[in-house]
Amino acid sequence: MRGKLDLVIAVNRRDRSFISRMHYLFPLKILRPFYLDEIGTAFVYVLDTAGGMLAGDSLAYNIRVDDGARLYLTNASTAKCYTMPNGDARVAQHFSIGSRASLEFFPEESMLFRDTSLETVTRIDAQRDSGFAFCEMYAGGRKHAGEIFEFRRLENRFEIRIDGKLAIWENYRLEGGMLRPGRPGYLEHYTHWGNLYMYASHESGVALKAVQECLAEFERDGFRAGCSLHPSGVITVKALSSEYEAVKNGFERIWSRLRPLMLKEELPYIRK
Amino acid sequence: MFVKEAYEAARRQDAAALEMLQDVCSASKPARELHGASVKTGRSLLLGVRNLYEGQPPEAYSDLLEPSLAYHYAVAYGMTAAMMELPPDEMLQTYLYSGLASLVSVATRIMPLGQNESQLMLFRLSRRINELAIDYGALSLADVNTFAPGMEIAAMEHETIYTRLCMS
Repeated sequence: MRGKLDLVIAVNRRDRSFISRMHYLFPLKILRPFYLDEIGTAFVYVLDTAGGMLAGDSLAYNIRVDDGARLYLTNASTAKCYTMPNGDARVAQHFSIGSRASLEFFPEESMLFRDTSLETVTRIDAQRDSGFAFCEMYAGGRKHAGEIFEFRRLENRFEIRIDGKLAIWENYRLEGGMLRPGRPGYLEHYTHWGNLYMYASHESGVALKAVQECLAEFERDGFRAGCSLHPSGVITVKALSSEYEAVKNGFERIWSRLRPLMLKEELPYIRK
Repeated sequence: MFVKEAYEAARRQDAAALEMLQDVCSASKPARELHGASVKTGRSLLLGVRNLYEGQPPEAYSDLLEPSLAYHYAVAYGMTAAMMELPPDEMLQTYLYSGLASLVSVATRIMPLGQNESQLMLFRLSRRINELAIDYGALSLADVNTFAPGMEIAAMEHETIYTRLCMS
């Protein structure tokens, strides 16, 4: 299966963002945008109608948010990478964010089943005056089925460029066995991990302070997170937990605190 | 990987490659203290080397150095090794040894570990470096592993804690 989603978001004269071009191939599909805030953001759900990925499958996302437009993109359910004793699955994502445009990307987690092998390549190209919040979350296996860190391989290449200059770069190749519980510096005794990257050309110092305050209020049991401001202006939040909901809710709480600072608008309720 | 790439870029006088390495190294450190510590130690290393050469690095390398000397430690180390004409295997061994020495020094400050024990520990660990089979030719940036969320969260938490024992 070779899924594909090409999406272009533009803005009309009433400051309402809309889908100006789209093209998708099975199993990917999108719903008509919802409008849930006062700044005309297009809230778009991506559906993976296959339910998960097997060996040889690939998904390619090419998302462009034109100058002045706003997009909130999410999906409906966990991205499952099923057992595949041979071969691997691939996800390629490219996001382009125009001047004064914003992208919010909050998908559900990726679940790595036993013996699965997943390669992901993500690139975000933003402008100096654009804004974004981008989140990724992973589960090390179906722990309720007694399956933890039994995936074969996870390869992740991730980069953020602002005005063409490299701002954030992540590159790793993991084997499930490397993540044995208790290994210091890695996942320690947790099974889920996630990253949240946020950027707006203004207010980065104030925003960092707000994230730090937000993290200090969290219930610390079962959730560990830290945040920092990179010289490029990107705020990174890294989180570990043994419960998916803890990471997801943590990131949502942080973004609901920061969205009014960075995009000048409250985060509405996102129905799932 | 950064040390090797910087070493080779410096040897072939490739300023653009050094700038690219510096950018990638910067981008791989989202935690402010890890980023800052890497640049500070890199700059200190290059300042020390500049003093060795009485303020004038070998002519071939002087054009490669930014006036601020604000390079990440791994990049600065590779450049220094090229300037000093160290062979690659010696460069990697001394780089790993300097990292070990730094970790043991921190351990001496933050846990009950005496000077004698720390020297013994360093001696034993350094012997392990010699036993490592490093395929120098096969090392590339594609092999860099940036996955260490536990360490990064600890560095991020360190930014706001009241009592600070180390730079990062």
